Amino acid sequence: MEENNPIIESGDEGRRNFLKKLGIFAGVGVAAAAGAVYVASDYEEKKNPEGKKVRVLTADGQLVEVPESELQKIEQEELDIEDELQRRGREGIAGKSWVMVIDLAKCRNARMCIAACQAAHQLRPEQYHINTLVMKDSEHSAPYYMPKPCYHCDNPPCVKVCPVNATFKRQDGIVLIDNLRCIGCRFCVAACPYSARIFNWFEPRDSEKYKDQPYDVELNVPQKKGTISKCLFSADRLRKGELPYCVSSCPNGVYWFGDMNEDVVVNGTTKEAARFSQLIKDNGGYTYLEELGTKPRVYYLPPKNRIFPAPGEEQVSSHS
Amino acid sequence: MSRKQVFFTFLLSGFVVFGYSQGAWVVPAADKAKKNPVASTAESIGKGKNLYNTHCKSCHGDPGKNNGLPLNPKPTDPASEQYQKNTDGEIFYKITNGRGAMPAFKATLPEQDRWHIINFVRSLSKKKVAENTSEPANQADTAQAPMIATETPSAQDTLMAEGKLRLALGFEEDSKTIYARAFRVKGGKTVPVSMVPVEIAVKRYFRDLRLSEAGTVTDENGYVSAIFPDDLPADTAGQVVIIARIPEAEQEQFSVAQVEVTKSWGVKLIPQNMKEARSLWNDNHKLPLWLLFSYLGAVAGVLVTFAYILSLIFKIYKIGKSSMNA
Amino acid sequence: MDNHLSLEESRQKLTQIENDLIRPLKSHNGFEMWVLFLLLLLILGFYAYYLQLRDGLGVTALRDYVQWGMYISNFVFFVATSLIGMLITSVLGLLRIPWITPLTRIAETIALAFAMFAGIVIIIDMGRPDRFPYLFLHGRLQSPILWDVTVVTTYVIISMLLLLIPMIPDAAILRRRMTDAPKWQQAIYKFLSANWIAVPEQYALIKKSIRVLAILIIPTALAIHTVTSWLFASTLRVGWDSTIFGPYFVSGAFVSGVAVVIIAMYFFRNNYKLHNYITDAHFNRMGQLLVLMCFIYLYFNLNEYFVPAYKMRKAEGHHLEALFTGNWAGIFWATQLGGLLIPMLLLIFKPFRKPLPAFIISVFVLVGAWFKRLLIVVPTQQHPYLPIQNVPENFITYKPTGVEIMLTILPMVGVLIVITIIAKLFPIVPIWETAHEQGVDESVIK
Repeated sequence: MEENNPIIESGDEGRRNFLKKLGIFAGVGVAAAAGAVYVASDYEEKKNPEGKKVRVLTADGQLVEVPESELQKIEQEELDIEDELQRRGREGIAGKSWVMVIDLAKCRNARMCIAACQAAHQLRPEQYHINTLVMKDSEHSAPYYMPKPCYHCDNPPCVKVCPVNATFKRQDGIVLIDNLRCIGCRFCVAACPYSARIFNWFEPRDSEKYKDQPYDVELNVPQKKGTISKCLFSADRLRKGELPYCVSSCPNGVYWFGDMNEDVVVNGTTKEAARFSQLIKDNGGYTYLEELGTKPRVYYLPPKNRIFPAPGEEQVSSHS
Repeated sequence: MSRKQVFFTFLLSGFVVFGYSQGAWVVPAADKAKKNPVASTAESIGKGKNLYNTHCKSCHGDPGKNNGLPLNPKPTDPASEQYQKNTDGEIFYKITNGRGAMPAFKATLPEQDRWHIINFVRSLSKKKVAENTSEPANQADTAQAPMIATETPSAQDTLMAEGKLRLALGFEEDSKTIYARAFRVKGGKTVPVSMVPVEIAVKRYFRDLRLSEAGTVTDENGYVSAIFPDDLPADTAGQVVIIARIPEAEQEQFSVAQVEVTKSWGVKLIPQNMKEARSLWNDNHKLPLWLLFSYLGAVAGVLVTFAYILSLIFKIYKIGKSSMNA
Repeated sequence: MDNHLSLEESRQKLTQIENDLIRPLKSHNGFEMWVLFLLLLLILGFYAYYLQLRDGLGVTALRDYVQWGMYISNFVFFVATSLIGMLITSVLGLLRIPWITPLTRIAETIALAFAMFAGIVIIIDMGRPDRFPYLFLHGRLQSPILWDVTVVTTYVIISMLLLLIPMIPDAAILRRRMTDAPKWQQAIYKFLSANWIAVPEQYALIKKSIRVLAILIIPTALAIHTVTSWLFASTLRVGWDSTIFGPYFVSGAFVSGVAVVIIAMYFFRNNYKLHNYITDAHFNRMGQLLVLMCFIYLYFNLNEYFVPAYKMRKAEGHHLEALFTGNWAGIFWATQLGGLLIPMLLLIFKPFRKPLPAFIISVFVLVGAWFKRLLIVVPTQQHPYLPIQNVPENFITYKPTGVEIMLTILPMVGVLIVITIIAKLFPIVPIWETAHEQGVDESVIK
């Protein structure tokens, strides 16, 4: 079953590669030797009376013994990795202005975006960074599917109310959450009119498995109990020039993603590039509830000329 | 793990709904007999290929590789025998009306485009035949291509020629027109090559933006041209990188290194770091000054009052002390 | 001062007042049972908090949609109730309303206890209470939470000063009278008496301090509840996105504050046998005050519910329907009618302002006030702009768990403990002000 799921595999693989690619640590010998060894200093036994050898858990789940002196180095390195992830995560990518376009005419609720997202961000099945909703605007209007990520507003109500700078906006427009800073007051959840934010009410999924992973603020991973999480526009992938998890896993060409400064968005399914301004102009693009003044960065194209049946019509069509 | 399984079960069950008790896809006789009104030219096939990549590939996969999505029923590989058994009319009907997970394209794709796709998928079976008889790959396509001027070598000739296929970029500054040329060097002379699919693009972060029309091939003089849009943003210096290359889908057939030239044609990007201005949503040290001063003012007022009150109480204490001592 | 007594008469009168008011500090009738009861609840509460810390906030019924529940309602209720200190000591005090004298210390004690525990309630609601210091290390002044922390702290300090400064002469008296009390208790009296010798200069300084604080507490009290209302009003959610939330909350605060003071008055009058000091007339006055406060609050309720209901904007409509006729209708109408309108109408008639009826009505008002906060906090979150879909059933409904109820009670227990301690250490009716009012010569009060 697992092997059949390319999304999950690629997510983990991507992350490992990404850690390896962190240039500034290239020179450190231990890291190369141990192959990004994640240390479990709190839980692993340190029984040796001389304290010379300690068991540690490697990234692929193997227990190995290393001298304690090296362990110190590894711990230090790990702190460095986390510091570096924090620094660049808070700074963002200069000169970029990310934007997403969601074509409602193409969505048939395949929910592959959700699966890819939940796998990448270690979410429980009921926790959504992106959720596909069945919308019906008024009594006689037609229903449609609406994928709803975080809109990464330019006037973000959630960031305004955060008391400790745990959620913040970066220069490239992304609104992120620092789970090492969040105090869990949930004011941001109350402030978001789009219900985009979720909370780790319990110990996060598989937290035991991921507990030694250095925290990446661009991925919100590993998730932390008692803190907020939400869609991050896959900030970790953008850095590598890759499209977000949801965008690239959609089978139906729903998502376009790109840089507004380049005026180009790329379709995650067809990899076709288009002018953002042209796409919006030609298709009557809009942002959701823009009257609230939140200035969302996610645009919708109206569900016109659909290629899939509207919500509630599937049964009819399957028997026809 | 169980979550992944849940997901998969869900995925499958989702498609079971679509695929539920679907028998053979019967097409009305009149539709079945419909003939393709669009001639199977190289241009039509090229357009068809582009349309296929955009609208069909995500489910049907790469033709001939049988790598479509694992749905139920499985989307048929268009290069397969089973698929090619369909008449043009049948394929047209199925693209038009859809069924289950197969979308209906009648609203999104003009009829013309649907026929282009059919021309493309038909070319796949011919290609297979061509490969079997070890003839040049696109001979079948070019056989029906529009007339080629006699003074220029035909595509299949040039392909088999010895000189290496090359690309060059040329520019007309006033009109911001870009020319890409496909040619070979033969005996010190450049010989243009026609019918080569070439795209002109401008470099972007995730994918490059194509400026030439989809499916364009070089003309009899080996040229493809495109106009650079005046309003396209560039980097902070106003520079854009213009690229001529063979489209990704055609690269197996034509192996040519892409050509890049930097031009100062774009609209200069004036980088705006939105985090520079103070605002209510910015970081803690970027708070609006009015807020900072209001806060500090109020707190200072309270602290001064507290100090005053403490001084009064201390006086009470001192008065008592001195009189007790006295 | 018309009934000015001679020095000898003054001494006799003072002794009599002292005897009446200090007696409760010495008698322990039923006190142990009360303390035992509070401690039991305290232990239960701590166990509940241990469970919440261990398993996460998921032990409550809170989920991603209703994510502020009883804890936050409780916080609003605590802040609201604490506002009574400002109303009695400051507003009525500055207006020189004479009958408030025996009630000021009750009001200040309640204010201090509720304000102190408001902060504790917020910590209970936090997902990461271990990171509480981040509020000071990384505080963002743009966030109303920072403003709230600032003003609540200020209010606690002012309330404490307003409790302790008028205590100076009483502490001197206690120091003289409570010679058989434990050493630590005597040390407290000595410290608080600040070398009080009842000279006119000292009286002048005390009165000046109280006046300054009484003025300072007005903006502070308005600020704590207005800022608390902004925690909601600064969002874009229907039901919270209201411009009158500040005054609406403040007026509601006085309702619950007056009610809680009447309850405390009734309790102290009967248990401490203070019938001569907290008289029927005081209940009559406080009953009238409650009518006025209920009326103002009703007026704001009308604005808050009727005006949007007249328009029935889409999202707001769902919210209001849930309140008026939907799943919240029972609590809504019980609160509005049983906790506000009917108490107000009854209290208009004098017989209902007798101690016992006023006490019973106040209990209804107070319970109504607590549920009113729940109605303000919870239903709104069940009606966001975007539909709630693809989540388990318990994300939509809100049924508080046992742990949650226990942790809502815990800070209330804390309030009762603080009030109990203060009422055990100090006379709950100020001795010197009462004596002064009855014409005792100032110079003997020491």
